[in-house]
Amino acid sequence: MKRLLALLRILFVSRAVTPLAMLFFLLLYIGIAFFSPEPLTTLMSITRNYIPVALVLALIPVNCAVRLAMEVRSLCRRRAVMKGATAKSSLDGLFAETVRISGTLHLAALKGRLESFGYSTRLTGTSLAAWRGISLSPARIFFQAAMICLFSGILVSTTTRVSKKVAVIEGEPFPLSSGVVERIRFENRRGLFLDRTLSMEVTGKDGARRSFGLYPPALDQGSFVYPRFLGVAPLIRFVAPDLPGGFETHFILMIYPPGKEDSADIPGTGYRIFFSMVKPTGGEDPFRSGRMTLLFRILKGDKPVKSGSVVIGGEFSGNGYRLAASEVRRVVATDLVRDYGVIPIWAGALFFCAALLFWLPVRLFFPRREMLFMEAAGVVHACSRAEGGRDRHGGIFLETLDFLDAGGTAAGCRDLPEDFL
Amino acid sequence: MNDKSEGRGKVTDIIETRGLTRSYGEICALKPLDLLVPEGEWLSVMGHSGSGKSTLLNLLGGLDRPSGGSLWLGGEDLMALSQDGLARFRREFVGIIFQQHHLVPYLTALENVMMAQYFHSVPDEAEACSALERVGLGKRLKNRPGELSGGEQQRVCIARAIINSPRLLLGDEPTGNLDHANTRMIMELLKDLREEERFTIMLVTHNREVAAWGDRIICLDDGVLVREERTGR
Amino acid sequence: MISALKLMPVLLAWSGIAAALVRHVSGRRSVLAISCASGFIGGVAGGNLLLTLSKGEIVSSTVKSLTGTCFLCLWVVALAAFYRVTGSGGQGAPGEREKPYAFTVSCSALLAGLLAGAICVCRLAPQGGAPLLSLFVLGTAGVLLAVAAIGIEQYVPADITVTGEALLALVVSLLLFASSFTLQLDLFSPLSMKVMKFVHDFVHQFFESMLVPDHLFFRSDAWEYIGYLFGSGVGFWGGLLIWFAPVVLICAAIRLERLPTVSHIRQGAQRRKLLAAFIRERNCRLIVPCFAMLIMAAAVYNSLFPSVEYWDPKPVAVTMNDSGEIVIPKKGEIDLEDGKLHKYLLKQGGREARFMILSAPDGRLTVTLDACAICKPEGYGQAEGAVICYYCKTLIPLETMGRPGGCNPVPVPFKVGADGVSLDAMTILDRWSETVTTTSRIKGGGK
Repeated sequence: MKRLLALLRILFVSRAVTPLAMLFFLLLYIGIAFFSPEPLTTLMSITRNYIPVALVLALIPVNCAVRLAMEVRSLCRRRAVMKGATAKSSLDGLFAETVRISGTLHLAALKGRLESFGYSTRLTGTSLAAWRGISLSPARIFFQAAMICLFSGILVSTTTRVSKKVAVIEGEPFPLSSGVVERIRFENRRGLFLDRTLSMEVTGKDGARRSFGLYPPALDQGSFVYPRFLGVAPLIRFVAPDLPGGFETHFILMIYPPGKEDSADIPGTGYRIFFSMVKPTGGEDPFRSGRMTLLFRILKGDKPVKSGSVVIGGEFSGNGYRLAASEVRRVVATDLVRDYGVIPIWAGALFFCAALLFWLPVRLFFPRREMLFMEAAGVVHACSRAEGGRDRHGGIFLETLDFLDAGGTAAGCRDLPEDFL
Repeated sequence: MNDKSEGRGKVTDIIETRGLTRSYGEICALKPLDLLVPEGEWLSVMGHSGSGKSTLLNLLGGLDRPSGGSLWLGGEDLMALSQDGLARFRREFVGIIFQQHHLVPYLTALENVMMAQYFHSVPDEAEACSALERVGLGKRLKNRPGELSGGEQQRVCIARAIINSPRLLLGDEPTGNLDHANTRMIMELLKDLREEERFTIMLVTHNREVAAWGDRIICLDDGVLVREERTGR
Repeated sequence: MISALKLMPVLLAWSGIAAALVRHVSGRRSVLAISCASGFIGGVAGGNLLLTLSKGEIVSSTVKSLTGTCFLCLWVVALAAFYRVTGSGGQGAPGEREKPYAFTVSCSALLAGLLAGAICVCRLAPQGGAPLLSLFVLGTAGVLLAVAAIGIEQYVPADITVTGEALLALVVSLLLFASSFTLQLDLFSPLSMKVMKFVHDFVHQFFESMLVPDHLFFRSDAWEYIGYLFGSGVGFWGGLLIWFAPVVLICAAIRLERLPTVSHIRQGAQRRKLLAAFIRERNCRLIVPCFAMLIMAAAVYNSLFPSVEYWDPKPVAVTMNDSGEIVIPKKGEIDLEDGKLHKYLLKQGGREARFMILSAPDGRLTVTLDACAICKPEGYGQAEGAVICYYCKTLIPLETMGRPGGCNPVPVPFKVGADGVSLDAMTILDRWSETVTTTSRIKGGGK
């Protein structure tokens, strides 16, 4: 039991847990890459389906949460100590270096000396605290928060994401909430990253209007509405020599932008028709305008039987084959995604940015350096810590120890009269 | 220390020479010299120009090799050291103050002292600041030699010479270019530093007043030790 | 003579390994010499036996896997070293390192010798069947060079110390350098390819997972920048990062070691002397990992500019007959069954396509496009029992030609008749258009 508790303690507290867990996934990925052409999706699938693997992933946010708590506790303890709460036991683990010197502390002289080196000081009873710079604790806290958000988001997303592909078609009911898709708008609008906007306007039974856009994706009944591809659903009437009665239906064709090809089967006949869109020469967008010309290839089985083009609202006929296209409706192939991990992952990214923006300038220009001197029972405890600028701070700390050792006087410090200079 | 062979000096002798000579071709600058200097003593070496006092100082500072005899400093046989060994010994054991200062003109006082640290081991700005404070130049750290008076420059030299805690401090006419007031000030400084740091001083001078600051005065004439006296300090 | 020149760099790398091992253990030269010699001879003999008994592909993939495993171990050790130094206990002092166990180093020497011997054999005769005399000379040369290196090592200045991590870095870098001379054993090119694939997959997955709109909605200039992530540059630079990172981490771990505590010393000069000695010793410990970095760079250079001449014939122009077929005789000016790659160029109605015909080692003819479904269509060359994609430098064994998938060239349906190989011209043109359109759509190629 004790060993188990000790192991758990290590798992939750140790710095090594997060890198080891990442190493585990890296090795797993490398192993999968030998056997699978899609190692990343295979890895995600393994994480989703095997609990032990998911537990390894879960170790990361748990470990980071514990380390965050430790960081906050350490920050509070250090602040208390620097303010004068200087019980000896409270110093453990707070400073990088602690030295004991026998003697007495000449606080005033020491204060003046440290201030001449650019340190701010605080004198409280039998202790003197000196510091300069800004602490990097906020950056570390942001970083741990980012890791918690990121990896818990990844864990939730990998294990619980549910995605459903639907086609949102003009004039048809909206797949999720009750309502009809009134219109699909696709417009040019230059933004920071996007230069087109898409909105699917839905009118509910109560007459309320909602619009589902591109980014950020809208939420509907707990699912994100994620538009993927654009297409058209023309009403196609097809007549063949062996199909005199013809066949008429709206085919959903994901053939936008021009150059893409999609196919549709005529059920029970063996006919398959491949469609693509002609690229308009005039620059007009066929999806926006609804005016387009469709290229088609008709195959019976594997054998091509006819090919040609048909304008929307027009008809093609030849060799007994007739193909008419009309009433084109806009289609958006949409994913309805229920994923509670997306927002934590974005939050994690924001925390990372915050951590970096704080850390970089502070570390470069204002690193935190601290010293604490306290006297207890004829012994002076001198503590030092530096988050940056270690060499200079270390030199000052050592000189200050020499100063204390010399009895608190700047031994041999000679202020000579000006006329000697 | 000197505890290895018979007939050698006492354990606390920092300088021991036996038959130490230096010749430059046919000219014998220093005739066989036997000298014992106990640790912590201030020895003044007097003599007129060409008497061999600077030659003696150069030999003791490891700046020159003797032509003959033996030379032990702090228990180390300098004759047995290689060039690298001599350089290391010079860095760690000896501090030298020259009459001409030899400060680097484009470096500040602080940087001149840190340069001595650099050649010894690693520079330490805080320690260099403390050393300059001890010689009374705490407010002149950022000044270049050209902006300092003669006395201040010599004090920078002293700080530079003692920064590496030498056991032997050698001075070759350190007050030769200074006026009376500054000379006194430099001597007082050396006296105080010797009491704090407990190093041995050997000063070469032609000035009787300066020589009288030492514990003992020896006089050289044509490379020969002609007289020795205690000053009673 | 040519074989000797081919093997010289590999053997020199092996002697470097032997010298590094003996420097690390500081003594026990005879034990180490025996371990190195037996390992090397075992590697040569074992490697040649396996090459003779099985296909070259199996042996080279085994050696490559073992070298890759060593590289992974180096990564783990480098991360551990960096982690140790950046923790609270990262302080060191000169002369406080643990002495290595001679047994461990002897075992390492044996394993390194085995791997080095196998690499040498693969370099000498990748398909096996090297003459006994050559193998004997190789084994003897390896043993003599190792012994000589162990002997010469004592003249290397004693200041240059080799810690455990630095030793592993140097040994692995020398093994990677040695294997970079053989195409089938090269690790850097497949690493770049895998990195490219990973980045591509990751970006796709990121877009999908984070519900980012597809490229259809993106600004073209913004998408251009994203497109760089799908190019070969990402694979190259990412591969370089992964390649050099372990040695850089080891150098950083040494450089970032905290100076020993000197607070207990009250004399400034003594403190500084202690620190200077530590810094000097620390800088000397950096020499070996920095040298390992240079070796790794040389291995990359070998990978990017291999000293192999590819067989890359100029495509012969062909035309279709009245029935839309292309017929190429099996024998005649060109012998399709000679085991060499034969390239052809078809131009028709403003469209063109390149395809190749190759007789595989098992005698079957294969007809493929001179392009694959993944990479930019820079074409293929033939060298040393494999076909190589010029874009991603992937080696495709001749036995797998004609099979679809991965970086294999796209197979094309064909018939073999009495008059030769016949293919449908429109099929070739359509398939070429389809393949090239897909791979050229995104900047730099890629899916």
